[in-house]
Amino acid sequence: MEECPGDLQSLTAKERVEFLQQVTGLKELVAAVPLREKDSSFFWTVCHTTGRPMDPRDGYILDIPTSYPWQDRIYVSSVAALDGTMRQQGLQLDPLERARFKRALEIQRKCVKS
Amino acid sequence: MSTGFPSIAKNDFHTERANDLRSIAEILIRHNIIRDGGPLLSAATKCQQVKDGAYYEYEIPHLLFHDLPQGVMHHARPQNLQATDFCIDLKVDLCGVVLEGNAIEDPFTYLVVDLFISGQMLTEDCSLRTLKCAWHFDRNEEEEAEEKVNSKKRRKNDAPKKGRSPAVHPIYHFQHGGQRVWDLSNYGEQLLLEPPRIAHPPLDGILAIDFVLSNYLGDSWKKLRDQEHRYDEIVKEAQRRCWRAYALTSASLWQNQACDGWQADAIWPQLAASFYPSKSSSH
Repeated sequence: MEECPGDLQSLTAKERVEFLQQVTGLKELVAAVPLREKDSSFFWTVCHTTGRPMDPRDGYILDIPTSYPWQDRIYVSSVAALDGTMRQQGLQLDPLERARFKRALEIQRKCVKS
Repeated sequence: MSTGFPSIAKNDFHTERANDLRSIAEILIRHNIIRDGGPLLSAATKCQQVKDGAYYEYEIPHLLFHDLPQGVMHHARPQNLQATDFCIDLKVDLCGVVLEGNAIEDPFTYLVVDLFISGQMLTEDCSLRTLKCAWHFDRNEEEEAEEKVNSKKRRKNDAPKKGRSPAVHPIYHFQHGGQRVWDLSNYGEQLLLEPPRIAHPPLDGILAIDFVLSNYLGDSWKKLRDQEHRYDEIVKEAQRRCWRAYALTSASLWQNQACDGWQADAIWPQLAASFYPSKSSSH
């Protein structure tokens, strides 16, 4: 749409909702909130475990193959990965994400120990 | 070799630019430099949605580069970071001009590149603190920009623009900072100012990616340059499109060569006023 202030992925959830309210008149639309206060609201995927919207930056790619390279990758949020929910559902991270997740897990353990 | 991406015949400028983006996505994924090529593929699709054949547009929203090398983090401040998951988020938004052959003209009517680096640091009291760093690159909007077809609109939440200061504004420039660090709750001991605006040749999506790789992921960058002929071809063509006119215009004052399409003082506003005696010094 010409009136859109930019590519949707470049807008925060609040900015997208403001635009949608403006063009549709649907004042009851409400912006979703991130899973954690510190997470981004540049939502562009959903957490496969919780179904909540998330910024890919705040999660990991799952080891769920897609049929074609141009299909969207499937993500899990950092919250669901770190709190064990992902593992309880029998899900695994993409091999390239595992080292990054392991570092995050080690840091989290240091925080919990204190 | 099949890339698995849709095969599209190279038959026009827009398709070629889109194919470049798709090729870069495939190369970066194959070398494990990025995990998700979606932002590049969506930019390629947009590039092919031609509204006006004289221009091309695309936006790369949030291309993520994870795993900054130890060498980069080793020299970071704060020191001795027990850090996790530092990631570069690259955003490019542009409207370019489809120039003919060897035209020496400004290749863009709109260009914004944002580099946002963030990650988490473990503090001494074992809490997690988010650290952020940002660089902003853009093209100054000129008063006459409205005459040109330009579908990009400045968003209301852009960095504060309270009237143009008399400080220099090279037409293409880097600044430390950017929108995502203008609204932090805590700046520590750091002061963020708009200047300096450091002149730099324009960066399209391809060159912005090359900039990130060359500055932050040197090993991967070297590997691509040594092993990926297609990567080198794409970057070389992007440099020709984006940098040739900039370089020739910059040098024009010392080469007794007039460049009618572009003036050197737009690129380097610090040029001595006596180079342009007919103009008042208004920068």
